[in-house]
Amino acid sequence: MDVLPWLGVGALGALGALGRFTVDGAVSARWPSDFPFGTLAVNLSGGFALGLLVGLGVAGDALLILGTGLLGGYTTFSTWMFEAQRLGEDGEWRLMWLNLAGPMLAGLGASGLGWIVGGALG
Amino acid sequence: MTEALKLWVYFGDSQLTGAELTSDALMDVLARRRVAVSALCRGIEGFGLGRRIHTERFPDISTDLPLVACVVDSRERIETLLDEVDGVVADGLVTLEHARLARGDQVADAEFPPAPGRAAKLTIYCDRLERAATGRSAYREAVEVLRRRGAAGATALLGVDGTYHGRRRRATFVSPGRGAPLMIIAVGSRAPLAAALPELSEALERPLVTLEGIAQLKHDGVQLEQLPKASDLDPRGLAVWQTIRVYTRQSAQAGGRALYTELTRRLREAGAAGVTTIRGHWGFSSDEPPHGDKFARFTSHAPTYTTYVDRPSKVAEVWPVVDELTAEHGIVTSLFVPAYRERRGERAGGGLRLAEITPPLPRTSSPGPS
Repeated sequence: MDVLPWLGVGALGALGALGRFTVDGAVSARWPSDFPFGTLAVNLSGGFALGLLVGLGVAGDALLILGTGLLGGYTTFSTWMFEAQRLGEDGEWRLMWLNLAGPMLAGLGASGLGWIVGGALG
Repeated sequence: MTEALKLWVYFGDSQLTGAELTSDALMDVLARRRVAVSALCRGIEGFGLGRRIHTERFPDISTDLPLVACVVDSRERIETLLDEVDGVVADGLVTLEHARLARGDQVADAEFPPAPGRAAKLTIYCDRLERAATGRSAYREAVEVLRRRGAAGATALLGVDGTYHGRRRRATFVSPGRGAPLMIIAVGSRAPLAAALPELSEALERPLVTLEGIAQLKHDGVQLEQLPKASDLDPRGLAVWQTIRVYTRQSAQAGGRALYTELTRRLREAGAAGVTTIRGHWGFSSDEPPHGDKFARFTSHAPTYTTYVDRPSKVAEVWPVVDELTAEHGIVTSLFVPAYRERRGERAGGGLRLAEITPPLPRTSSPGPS
């Protein structure tokens, strides 16, 4: 494997993580809530973007760098799960299930929508 | 017994003093001064002068979680320490509370001071690794004694750093076996807490406790005392503050959410000065057996300890909020605070000269209120 895409994954992964931190912080500051909207915003926009890339026909090293690197750093499974677990720990079962099911269904929709839009454009 | 002061310092875990973490700088000062006892505890949620709620519920944006240091020593030693504490903690809240400090042989027959309120608060300090005479862990033994003797509740707060009998105790990642400071805060009627003292004195190797008079307002929804009211200023014009503390467990619900987090949000909306919650390590606040966090269980039954400090007039104003949210769960207590000073950048408020609290707190151990 070439070293260049490898470095690209690392560099854009770092950029993606910074993007997540910024977007999550901005959303949570704008709409403070018990429901983790910041994480949802990050995961939905990331899901849409990955769908869009694939729909546009981006492949190979470019998909590796943008998909695995940038969007991999940007979206977060661990935070989503931790926040759901943390709601359960506080005994807030309704919010916990909402936070598990909601983002999953919406994420599926966002990725699909991205793929359709990408296909139409590409 | 010593007339002591309890110094509370509320600040943030990412705060810096020069190039050093403020928490390290503060604990270095306390260790160098060989303060009788101190514990630095991590909060899970809170807000202060900055108004923003810092909570560990959202890990990606959880910056600057609250830290709370509790420092106890004789009045003179605490007063001479204040300048140095000010020097290292530029931003944060500092409060002083009156307490009696008893050590060793003094513990068995120590007495609670008179205060506005009929109840008492007993704090036992030990090390996490300390063993009781029975061979059990000292803090679990102490909580068990308190429960058996009829305390309303007891919450063990684990410190990450501190001093104990003047010596540094610090939990480090590389040597977890070195112990860590721990304080067990028990509240309830005076008689059962006093009755627990001889047994605690027997069970612990080097007992070290503080005794305070408080008002216990509620227990699991039952009203026990009226909210004590006071003027915002003492006769000399010094500001008096009041603290409301809520002891419950993490999973206790109110208004569809965890009680502690709903309390934090509602008090913030009501314009309260500041609220901080610490997750306890072990304890009880009802008739149930002592609980901590069980690994296999999803919902956390860990005890929580929430402190709200404000002017007495503001406390009276927001009391309906606290009353509503503690309709079912929790122990609610009140204590008057004679000194409060907050700083954040250019903004500062309050002062650390001790205001007078009525009924006056006697300097000697025996006389009651006249």
